[in-house]
Amino acid sequence: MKTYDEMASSALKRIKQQRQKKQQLTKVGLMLCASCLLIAFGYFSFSDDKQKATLTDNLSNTIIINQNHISSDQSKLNLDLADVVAFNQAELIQYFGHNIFPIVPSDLNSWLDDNFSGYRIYYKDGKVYWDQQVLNYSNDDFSRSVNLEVAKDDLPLLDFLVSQERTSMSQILGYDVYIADCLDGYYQAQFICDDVGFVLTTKGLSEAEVIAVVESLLSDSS
Amino acid sequence: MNYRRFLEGDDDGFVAIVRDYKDGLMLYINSFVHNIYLAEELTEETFVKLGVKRPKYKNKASFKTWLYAIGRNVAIDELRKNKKYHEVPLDDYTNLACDEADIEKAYIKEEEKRMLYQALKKLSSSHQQVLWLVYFEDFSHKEVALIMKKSVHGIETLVYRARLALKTELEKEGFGNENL
Repeated sequence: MKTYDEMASSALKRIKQQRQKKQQLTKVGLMLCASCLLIAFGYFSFSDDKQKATLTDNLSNTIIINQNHISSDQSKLNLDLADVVAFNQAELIQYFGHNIFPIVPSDLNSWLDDNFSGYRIYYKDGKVYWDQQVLNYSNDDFSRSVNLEVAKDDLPLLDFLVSQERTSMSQILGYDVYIADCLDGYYQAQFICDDVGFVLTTKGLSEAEVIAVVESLLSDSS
Repeated sequence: MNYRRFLEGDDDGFVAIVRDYKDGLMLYINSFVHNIYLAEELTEETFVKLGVKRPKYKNKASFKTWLYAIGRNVAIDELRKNKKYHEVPLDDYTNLACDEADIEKAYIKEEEKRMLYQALKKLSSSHQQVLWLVYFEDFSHKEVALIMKKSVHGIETLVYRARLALKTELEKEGFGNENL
């Protein structure tokens, strides 16, 4: 194994070699560019106007920068940790105005451990701009799990595909609920209840267990 | 700062960077490639990249966070280029184990942490990486997220799962893990 000094001197040697090589390549590149310009100049000087127009059209780009009119944080591009307000479970239920914590089968445990520092709401200039919560539960070997994403006013933004063929909606406790069986042990459910959007993904749960989890969220009386 | 000194033409600044970060970076890269000799080469490659490209360090994160992110890219490039497993000839295996142990001993001073590192090596690559950065390099979850190019939430989840896996591994070995 190399000592610190051996590695430093070997790296410095390689850096110098590569920088020299880069400088030589730059020189060759510049000469080639100059040659190409000369050739191009000669070619266009003797070609007809029609060809010139076509080439110019092909080379011209059209650049349009649109104005988004919303800042990066509002577009959810930039969640700034400085804007985090930590909520506990009761505060979060109060914020959503509806219970968002499901009753899950007894072998599943919440992923939140003792070091958990609170649920996060991103708040800036008097407004909440990101309140989406992710709640995970699983058994010890992760063969059974419940993943729940929750947001206020609308369905949560997702980074996975949900089928668009929602021709048949279930009716549970008076609410429309979209439920899909992915046929490989996964179920998905989506619904909006009291202006809170829920997306539920389960693995290894039976149909009855999935319905029970959905009912536990819909039957809230907070 | 040493990197600024180096950019201004002082090679001693570069030597100081190598002294400060070589061992930790090498053990981190080893969690990708599982071969300490290759990890050493890639560590040198990381320093060479730093010296040739001289990227601008924008103070968005600490220099160390930034250097580890470069190291991670170098390791991933290597894995992409050489998808097949890097085999170690049988004769070299004893040397490899000894050299790796020496580096560990030099870098990880506490005996308890060395035992933890042994258990860590039995975990999956991503679990090793995240726990190395959190427990041995003392990076915050936000810094780890920057290095591993994941969200903070993703890192919290990964740390949680990695800790569970490590706990299982330590229990198998008969160690207590109350402080984990």
